[in-house]
Amino acid sequence: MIAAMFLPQKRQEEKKYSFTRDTLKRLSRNRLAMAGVVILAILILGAVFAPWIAPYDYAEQNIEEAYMSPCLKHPFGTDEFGRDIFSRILLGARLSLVIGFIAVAIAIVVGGLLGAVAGYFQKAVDNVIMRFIDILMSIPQLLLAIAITATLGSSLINLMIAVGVAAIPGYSRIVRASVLSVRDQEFVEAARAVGTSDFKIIMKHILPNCLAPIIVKATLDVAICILSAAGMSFIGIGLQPPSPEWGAMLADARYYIRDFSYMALFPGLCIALTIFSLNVLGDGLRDALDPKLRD
Amino acid sequence: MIRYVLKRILALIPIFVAVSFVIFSLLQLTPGDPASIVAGTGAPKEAVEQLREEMGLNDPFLVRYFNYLKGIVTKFDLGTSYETKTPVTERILTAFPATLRLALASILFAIVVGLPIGIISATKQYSVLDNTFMVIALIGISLPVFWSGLMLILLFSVKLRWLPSSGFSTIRHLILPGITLGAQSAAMITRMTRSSMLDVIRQDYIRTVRAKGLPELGITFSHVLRNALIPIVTVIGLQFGQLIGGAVLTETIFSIPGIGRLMVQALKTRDYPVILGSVLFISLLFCLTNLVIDVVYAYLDPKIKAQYSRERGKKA
Amino acid sequence: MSEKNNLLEIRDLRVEYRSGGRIVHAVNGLDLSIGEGETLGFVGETGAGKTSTALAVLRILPQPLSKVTGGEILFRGKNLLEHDNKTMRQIRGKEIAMIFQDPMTSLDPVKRVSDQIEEMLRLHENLSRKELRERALQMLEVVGIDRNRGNDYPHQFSGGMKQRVVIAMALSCNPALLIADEPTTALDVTIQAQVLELMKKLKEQYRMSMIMITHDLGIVAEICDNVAIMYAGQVVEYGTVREIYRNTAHPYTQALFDSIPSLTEDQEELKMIQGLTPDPTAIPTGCAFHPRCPYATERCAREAPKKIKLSDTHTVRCFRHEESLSGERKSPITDEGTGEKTASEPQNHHSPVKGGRA
Repeated sequence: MIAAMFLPQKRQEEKKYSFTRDTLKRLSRNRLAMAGVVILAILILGAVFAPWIAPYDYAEQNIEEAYMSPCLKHPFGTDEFGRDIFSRILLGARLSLVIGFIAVAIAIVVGGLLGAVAGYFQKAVDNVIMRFIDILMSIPQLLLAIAITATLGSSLINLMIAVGVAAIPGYSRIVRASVLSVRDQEFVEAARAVGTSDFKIIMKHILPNCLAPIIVKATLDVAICILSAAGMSFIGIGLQPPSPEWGAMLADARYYIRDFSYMALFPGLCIALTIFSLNVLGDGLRDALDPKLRD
Repeated sequence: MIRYVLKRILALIPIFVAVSFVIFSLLQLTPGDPASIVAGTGAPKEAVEQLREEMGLNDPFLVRYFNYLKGIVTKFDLGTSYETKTPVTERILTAFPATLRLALASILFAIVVGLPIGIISATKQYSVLDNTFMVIALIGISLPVFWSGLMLILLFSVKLRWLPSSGFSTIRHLILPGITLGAQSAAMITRMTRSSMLDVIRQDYIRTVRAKGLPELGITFSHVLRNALIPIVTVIGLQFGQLIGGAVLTETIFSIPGIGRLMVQALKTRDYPVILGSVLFISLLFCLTNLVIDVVYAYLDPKIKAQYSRERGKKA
Repeated sequence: MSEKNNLLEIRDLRVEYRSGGRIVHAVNGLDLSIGEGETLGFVGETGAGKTSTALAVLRILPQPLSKVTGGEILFRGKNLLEHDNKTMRQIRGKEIAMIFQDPMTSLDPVKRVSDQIEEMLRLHENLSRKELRERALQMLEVVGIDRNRGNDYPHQFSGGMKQRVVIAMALSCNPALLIADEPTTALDVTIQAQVLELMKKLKEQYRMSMIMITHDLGIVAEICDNVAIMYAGQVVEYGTVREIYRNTAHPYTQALFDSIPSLTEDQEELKMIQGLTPDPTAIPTGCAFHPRCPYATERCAREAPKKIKLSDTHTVRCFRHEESLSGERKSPITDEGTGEKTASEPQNHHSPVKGGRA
């Protein structure tokens, strides 16, 4: 360990680089994960360029064209107000992806910091923080998110916060465990001895060590957060119609399931595809990063 | 062992108090005045003010929380529903059996489907069957409950007319919601069964057993599965906890009069005592489930069991 | 090699592993035989293919990554490779039992030890529940464990005690052949001696044949009748303990002896065998040992040496002994220095083991 510190900086970088490259190589050999990457890329591109791709304005009502089954003019059909479902889904992709990624970003930052602080300072600080995490963990994720939205009211930002807070505990635990396992190793002590600040030590030496499990968990959590947010919109406490949020669209479509089932088919299919792509990617990343499987 | 369980139940108390405090304070922060909600729109100001006094809303925050907690501890009183003016406890207990039945049906479905598929996949690793199962399982965990429910209704109630889409009186009513809610858990159980069995298959002691001349079937069930059971049970337990939470969506889709629907309704009418009560109640169930898993653990893993007895030994 | 009374005879065995798209030749044309009641030491460095050979005999090579690609394994004259699975299962445990290297991981952690012994008995003996239980507890006593500990779980035993349990399990059906795969390597030195002593005693008591896989020549001297030295998936030298120790013929065997630290002489440093164990995916041409052999000639790199018979019991694969083939039965390396040195080696190596026990 100490020896590693005195290696020329360049050597270490080379090593890191090859680790990343190695991981990506292994990932690229996983066909399912690659399918996930492709689907996700399409969804992200669709979301980013939604206003340019969408053939219609997502909010534009056209009563004369209401309840149209999928056809050339409206590939996914139209809803009860004659709005083009394809255009709405494209815009909805923006909402879902933004919610998912930002919620997880919130969870990683808050959860990671809490875990790092708890693990690094230990004793009372650790105790207080981890008991708080225990409390968060003893409320089912969706319920916690619901309770938070009930408090904050339903808006895009509140929904992200609600869904994100519910995902905090996992990150705190990962980071704390990793801090506990490295904090007493020589290179951390050496860094401390030369007067590096606690914050710097955490950021430079400890966090990189838990990057792999965090990346895997984050990928899977984006899926869970998108699902929670859509579920909340579905029961009417997330984003409300006329927002083109996929869950909200499904909530509307629910009432037309008997006669216009395509209205429920496409938004749901898109959620499922998004979740699927994130799940296979997360799985693939876990396998690629797992040192046990490395040969 | 019994001492351990008692100790764990005692340890639940502070957690429960803390959870109640967190949720209570959360809901206190909500915009809107409960008294005006109860009084209804257009009620005279004096009436609202009087109501505030009656409901104890003018007391300081901690006093209100303490009164609430006292009510729970002394007489299981979770407050009074703003909407129906009936005790929250009563409303929850009326709704609970439906939720429990739904959750049990789902977990049963999940185990009956997930476990055997996981076992087959593990014993036939990398076969076509295994690959197919794994992709199906991946799809399974990716299906949003609120969509797969709708699609099942579309197929089995609307198109085929085999099963009812709503209501909750007979077993037939349980099938679609049970599958909807259980599908994801089934997929999780399948994946966990497969991966933990594959972990065990690599262990040296499986080679020992094989060297004894035990047939493959015996190896799979009495050694591989037996050892893999610990992580599998965790997942089943966690899934059960999640199911009780996930019931919110399923109950909404299938119009099942359970706690989930009760809560959604309460959210819409801002019936805070009911929201608070249901979240607390479900969290308590969640914690109890975790406790049960830990006990089952000890039963399955002699090492953990020994730890408990040692702890007891030290205490005594 | 044609004696009829051989219990186990392995001819030209070949085992391959697939690893990351490459083929590993773990066992490469191995010949071996072991008679009734005989104890054979099976010696070689890690990765020489010793364990693979043992697993191949029991037909429990890890599936589907590895397979036997050639040769035959005759047990009581019948080729084990041709048996159906059911017959093979009846042989495992009952006829041929195996003890594995690491006792810490070779017992099922969630089963009581007596149950694990009972399982073996239940598979092969026709006994009532009560008899099963009694026999299992008796077996524990045989290996020196209190019968009251039958209800304990593996984690409640130390490493040495666990290995005793494994031995009890292996012997419970009174097998004709016991394969012990480095049974003491994972144990502390003092415990090693105890376990070895126990095995020696039980071997006599049960009158079974035994293959003792090890890389420790001290153990071989203590417990074995014959020795097979294995290198890169082949037996390079085979003979009685006396022959191997006194008339060491193969340079590799010689190197093994030289690498044992001597207690009687002052040594500046430990002698190591030059070079590394060959990469099993790319075994050198000719004699597999030639890149590390001090005597290697250009021919060694080109041509694989055939088995050369030095005496009725002593064979070697090395060109250096070809000349001596001309009828003479005497050991070819009569270089006085070497001969003396090897003769003194066994005693040297005995000492640490004996010292440990004292």
